[in-house]
Amino acid sequence: MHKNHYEVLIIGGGISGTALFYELAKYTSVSSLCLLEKYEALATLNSKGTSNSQTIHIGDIETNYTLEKAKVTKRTAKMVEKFCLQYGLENKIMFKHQKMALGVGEKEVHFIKNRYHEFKVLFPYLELWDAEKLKTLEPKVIYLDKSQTKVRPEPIIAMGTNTQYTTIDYGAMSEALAEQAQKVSDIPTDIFYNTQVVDIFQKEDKTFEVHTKNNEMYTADFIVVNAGAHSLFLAHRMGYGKHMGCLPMAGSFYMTENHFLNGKVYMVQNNKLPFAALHGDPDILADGKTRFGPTALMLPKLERFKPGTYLDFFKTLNFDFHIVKIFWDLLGDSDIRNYVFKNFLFEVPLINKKLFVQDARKIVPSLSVDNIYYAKGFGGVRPQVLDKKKEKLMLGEASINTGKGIIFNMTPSPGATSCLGNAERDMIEIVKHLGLDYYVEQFFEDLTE
Amino acid sequence: MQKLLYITDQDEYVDHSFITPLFEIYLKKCMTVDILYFTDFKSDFTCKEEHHYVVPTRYKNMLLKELKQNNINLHSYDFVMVRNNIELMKHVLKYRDKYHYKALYRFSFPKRKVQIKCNEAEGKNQFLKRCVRAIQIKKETKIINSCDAFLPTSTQMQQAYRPEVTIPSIICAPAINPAALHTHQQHDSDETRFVYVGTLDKLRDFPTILDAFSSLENKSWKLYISTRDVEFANTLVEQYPTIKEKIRIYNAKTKDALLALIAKTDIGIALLPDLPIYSSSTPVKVFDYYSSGVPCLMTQSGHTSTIFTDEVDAWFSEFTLENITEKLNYLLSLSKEDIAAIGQKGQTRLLEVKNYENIAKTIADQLKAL
Repeated sequence: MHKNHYEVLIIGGGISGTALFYELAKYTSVSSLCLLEKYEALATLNSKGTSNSQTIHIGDIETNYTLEKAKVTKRTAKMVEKFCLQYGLENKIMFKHQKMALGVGEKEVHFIKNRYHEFKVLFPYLELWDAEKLKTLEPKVIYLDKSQTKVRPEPIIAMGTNTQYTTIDYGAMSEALAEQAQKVSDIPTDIFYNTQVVDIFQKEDKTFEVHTKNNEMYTADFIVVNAGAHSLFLAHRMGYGKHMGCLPMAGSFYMTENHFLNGKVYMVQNNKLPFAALHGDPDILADGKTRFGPTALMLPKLERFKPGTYLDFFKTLNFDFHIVKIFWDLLGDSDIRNYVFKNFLFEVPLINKKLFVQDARKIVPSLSVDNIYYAKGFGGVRPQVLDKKKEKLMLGEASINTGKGIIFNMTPSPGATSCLGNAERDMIEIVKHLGLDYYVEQFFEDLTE
Repeated sequence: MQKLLYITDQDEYVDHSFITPLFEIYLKKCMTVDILYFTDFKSDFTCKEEHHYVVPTRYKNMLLKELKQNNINLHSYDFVMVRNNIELMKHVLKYRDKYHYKALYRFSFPKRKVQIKCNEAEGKNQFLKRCVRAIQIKKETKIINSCDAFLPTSTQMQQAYRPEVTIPSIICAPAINPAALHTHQQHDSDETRFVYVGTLDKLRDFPTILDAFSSLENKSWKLYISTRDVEFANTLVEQYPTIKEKIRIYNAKTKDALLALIAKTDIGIALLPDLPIYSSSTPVKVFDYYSSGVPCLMTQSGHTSTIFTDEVDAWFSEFTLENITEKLNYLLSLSKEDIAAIGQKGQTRLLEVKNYENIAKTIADQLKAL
């Protein structure tokens, strides 16, 4: 058995894990750091550029965010932006696109107008775009036909901007974070690939033993698990987070043959649906082709496009009466029932494209089946957390801080945008727990506005 | 100070021209008032400006649990009032004993009845819906009678639509907001400007009013309409080619925009068919007109005649073509100054007898006495 001891050990080399790796290395007096990654490279799952929408969710066009939530996401989104600017990553992995939240129909138009006034205080750059303006900025959302002669009959409005950084390859950012962490610090900052953690034990001296599938063992004073749905899997194995279950929601995308929309177009969200409403985004990894999606399909596995993890899903679901009650309540609502059924059909070959186009026409009325194709290999899994105590599906992220030197994070959207903010929270906890120095001034200067 | 939680079935962004003055301005002088709205779009509970809660609609069925989870102290409320939503009322009643509040049901308008009437006016058979409604009213009345008080818009509305409610009633009527009066702007043009604001549908029989306008010999008038039913209004006006140039259709989005539009006109119209849904309370549009000092030509009902006097502070007309035509002819013979004087008197009258400050005091006193 191989044995390595580190002051802090991070499990999971996605955007959340690497963000913490970077912050600890640069802004604390930690003496040694280790990152364990299950696969052969960083960010091969949900942080990978093809797995998510590549969006910086600042909260301006995400219509399901409250102003309070947007205040938080704005801060964390700006941290991502500042990191990239600090290392000259703009126009390499981070880009500016036009973006908008589109309201269609009387009710949504009313909502967007009011939301615009409410949120402009926080996002002064926001503009309100009426049908005339949209004809110039994003004509495909306005016209019913491909030759752009007939305007759609419903009232329409958008709030948006074309001055902000909107898009990022989170996979590339994960690599940049890890690379900078190793560059900026002269302490041991080790990354081990192909290292799947199977068990974590806390010893009597309060340190931890980490056992891997290839029979290696690591020890650490503090552990943070940023392993997506597997965070909860490992927490359950240690007896933590038993009041939570995990519902993996897979998202797929459809791609246009060529450049289609000029920027990101988000729809108004139905609050009953815990997953992002359909949107169209220019894909920075596919020459700006427009990617429509994501769909939302419950998948009985924790990792997309990887073999196995079916059994892990059932263990992590933590099935009991409370879970039944949550599903019962969710499916009792006809909106959610229809949504679940429709999203299932979006994955069925032969009919999927036709059905998806019907939905996507709310964004682009002239969209036809021959404009899009199923983006094979694109998409990921969002580990949505089920709170069994509250008997409800939690929206957004969840963190289990045991207070005993180990933290488990589940970070579905907007987890990637919040990666540096979440890492800051965990870093402060680690500093407190281990009595480390925290270079707070430098941190604020580098990463906050 | 006693504390009230007012749960409205309305969206956070609707124009709260009733709630704002009555509950947020004047009732707050007598008790602490928290107001809860719903949102169809946002995902999380929000507490805005301390006393405003916004709850995603998906939590309607477990509202109090959601409030508790967001650290709202439900024990602190003396009263919980629900507006128009009987399922929410049931939910609130379920927890009444646990949290020791008084449960109140606010009945603002008989929406289902209006819908049935509208459908009938369009020639649709509503027999089945009438039967279902009768059963629903029985059930709802039973639930309302388990509450501590019932707050209809008027006594007449209670008698017409919830006659079997036996619990104490507290009238919660629309009124004029003394703090939001718009100055009437005398315009320079010679014509007399009429204005109609509000819903337009078959039931309101607006063609009778347009018929009256089209039969006028004096053509020195204009009619402004502000309605959400713009399409309906356009279709209707198209049927009157001789006067359509004299009619302007608007869709004022906010109360301020509406009052500003009214302020530019001379006479408001609140003529409605003689149906209990219209005669059991004073239409809100009447208060909107007088808020801008604009006098109103209205249908005389048991309700309006307790407030106004014909030719003193308003004009009454029966809802017939002859009567309306006659009144319009008469109004066109009046000078702008005479018209403005009637508007001023009407506003003064409303400030005396129907203003939100007095109504809020009365409501607070009656709640305390429960």
